[in-house]
Amino acid sequence: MNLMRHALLGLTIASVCGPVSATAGSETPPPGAPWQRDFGKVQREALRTGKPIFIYFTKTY
Amino acid sequence: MLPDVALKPAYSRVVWLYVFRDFSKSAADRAAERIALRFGLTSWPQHLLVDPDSLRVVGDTGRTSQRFLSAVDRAASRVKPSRSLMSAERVQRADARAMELEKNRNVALAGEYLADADIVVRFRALETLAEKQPKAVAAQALQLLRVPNDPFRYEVCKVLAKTGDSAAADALQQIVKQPANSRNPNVLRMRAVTALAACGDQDSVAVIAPFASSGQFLNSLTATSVSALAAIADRRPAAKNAVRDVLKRSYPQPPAKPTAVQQRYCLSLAKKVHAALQQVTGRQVAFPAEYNRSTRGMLIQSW
Repeated sequence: MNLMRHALLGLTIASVCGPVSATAGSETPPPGAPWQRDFGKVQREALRTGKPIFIYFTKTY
Repeated sequence: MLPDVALKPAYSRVVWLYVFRDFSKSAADRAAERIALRFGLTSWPQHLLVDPDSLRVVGDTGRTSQRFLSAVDRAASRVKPSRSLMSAERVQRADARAMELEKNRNVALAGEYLADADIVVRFRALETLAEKQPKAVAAQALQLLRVPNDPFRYEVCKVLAKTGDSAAADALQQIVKQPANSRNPNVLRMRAVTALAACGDQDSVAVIAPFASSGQFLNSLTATSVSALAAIADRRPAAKNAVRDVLKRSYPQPPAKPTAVQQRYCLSLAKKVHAALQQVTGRQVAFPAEYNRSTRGMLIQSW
């Protein structure tokens, strides 16, 4: 029973904190948005489509 | 905030760019560094909404999903489609020049590119000259310190901290008083104060004084300012009395109920001030076994 509780607690923590901790200062972008990495391509696409560029700057911690 | 599904309406309204630095100086890291340099970025993490043509920042996304979506709405209304890709081509050509300097740190090429129209190219040129010909950088310091880009000005300050060119003192003092067009004014001030330790004179004392005596023991600028004042007094004996008077006021006031961290930083700054006073005056005064509001007062009196 205790083991089961621990497993459930672990799963809950992972599901709440997982996406954040996995991406904070990570080479992998956060899930969801259609991230790109090439500034030149991004700028061209934004110019053509008339959209702003959203830049997320992060680093290794 | 970024993995939040509430941001889904913004997925198609902006073009999403992820810039990650690991400081390995690999090709990918260099590319990420060039983007950070272009936007004058020196602290992480940061979110910017940018106009793709002018590359000006057009929005602050804040830290909540709701603010993010509002900022995207406002920024999107300010950007229109463009038939011309000229600005992208300009950046591409500039990147090529910057990469040329990354591969070949040639002084003659760096001298030419230091006056380039593109900030990333200028930075790469500055970086090369700072390493190979720092006096050439110091000779142009006045105009270089006016460039509104933090990493660029940090690099100029770093050179001046080594060369100690007194002709740059006024420009450095101006930055300390008013770090204009900076995304990171506290750090820019810190770099300028560090340079003033080598370049400054009596006039610099009054400019640095408010930061040395601010009592902000958690801010590195305070300790940096204390060290800079002691260095100026060492080089310029005429500044000694003024420096001593500022340092006496710079013993930090301990909080009424300090946390362990506050206690540690407060004590560390007090000891730094004390050592600086001993260095400047040539006198030895015992530091109390316990640093508190009462012993702080006695220390100030003892000078």
